[in-house]
Amino acid sequence: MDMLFDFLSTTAFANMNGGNALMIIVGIVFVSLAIIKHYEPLLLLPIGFGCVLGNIPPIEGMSVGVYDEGSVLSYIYSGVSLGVFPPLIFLGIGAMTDFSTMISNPKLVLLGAAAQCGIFLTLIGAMYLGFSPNEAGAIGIIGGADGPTAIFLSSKLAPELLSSIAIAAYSYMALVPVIQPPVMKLLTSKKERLIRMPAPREVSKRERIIFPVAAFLICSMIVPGSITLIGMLFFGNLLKESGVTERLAETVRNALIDVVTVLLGLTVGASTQAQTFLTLDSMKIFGLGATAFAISTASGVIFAKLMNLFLKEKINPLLGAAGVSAVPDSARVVQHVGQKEDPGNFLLMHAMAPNVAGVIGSAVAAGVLWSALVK
Amino acid sequence: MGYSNIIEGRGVELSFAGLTIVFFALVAVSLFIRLLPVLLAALDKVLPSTPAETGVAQTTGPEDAEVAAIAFAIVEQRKRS
Repeated sequence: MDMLFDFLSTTAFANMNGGNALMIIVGIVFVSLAIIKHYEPLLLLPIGFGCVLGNIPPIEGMSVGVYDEGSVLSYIYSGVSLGVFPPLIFLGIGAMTDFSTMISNPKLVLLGAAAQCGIFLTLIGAMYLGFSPNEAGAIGIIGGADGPTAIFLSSKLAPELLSSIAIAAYSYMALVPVIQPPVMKLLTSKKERLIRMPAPREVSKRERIIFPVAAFLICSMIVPGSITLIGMLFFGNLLKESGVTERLAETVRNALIDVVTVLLGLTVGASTQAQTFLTLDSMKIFGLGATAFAISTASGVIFAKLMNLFLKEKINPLLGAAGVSAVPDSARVVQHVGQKEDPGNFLLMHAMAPNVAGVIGSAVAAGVLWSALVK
Repeated sequence: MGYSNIIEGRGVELSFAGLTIVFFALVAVSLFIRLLPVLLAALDKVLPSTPAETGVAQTTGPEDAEVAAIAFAIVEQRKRS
């Protein structure tokens, strides 16, 4: 009988607290949203299940959780904590990205730059709320709307905040269709939303091959801190565009990115243990994350309007919102908002230009912050 | 906490410098893209491009417009029959 009672005291039922129970419910909600509503299922399902997995209280002394040395989850989580998984995801993203629309209209690259304002203004906001410069830098990068970049930078600058930052970044990426449209409508007039963009020029194969090499050299020479992310992004793109490594490109944009996404999502979810996640700092991070997204959207739109003061051929300012690098969701939002005003206005391909430029911009911003803040 | 934390951490300086560098990098990329046709014209003199290299992005299947036209034709055919 003693053995039975001893066993009962080691069960999760005996050791569960309110925080763990709440996080398990949050995890189940994420999984439900993924399956029923199809909200970013490739991310929310692994993260949600990981949330459930990470909040079952283990037996004391047993290495089970992501923070327990020697556990299986900790070995997988090291891909997150050491910043290995995000560059591998960027490799896959590069192999599935088409930079043609950006090459055909280079002035739209500047919208991708403008949308990174959210990162740096949020950094100031985070410092105002009491975070250290390193923590503020890691929180600010949420405004780049790039999950892998957010995880990479927080693993370097503020590993103790990694789980909160990762969950905030991926949650708000899923909420892009909710956050962006009100900001876009507030800052643009109906006349501006009706602007149609001219058809993009054709881009040759040579341009698409030379671009990743040259852009990598430019970005990494200016910001060496971006070598890892930018290098993997453009390497993946070169695998795709060269035409001679289709097998490798196929692998990295399918098998490799899928494997890494599963492992990253599951372990990031499992890292949201109530004891480390349900804190005042996490609430502040979530508040700052929403602000960062809104500021990034606003700054992209406002910059497009500023550019129009000097351009003969006007840009539809909605494209500025696509500078937020949640590819391709923010481009889809631009298409949707534009089509509400004019069903014949097809902005999606034009919006992909600032969208992919935003990916480059957020990776460069991460490199800048890492270089400036690393000890 | 507060403004003193921003001043101590040089937050405004860091943000301004960071944003300037990001803009500078992307402006450089944008300018390079602008110069690309000129560079390619010069490269063509040394290494002439083949017809495949000057072509547009290769699609692996029919264009969207072609698919739409085929679908329309099938629908019209079915209406008549």
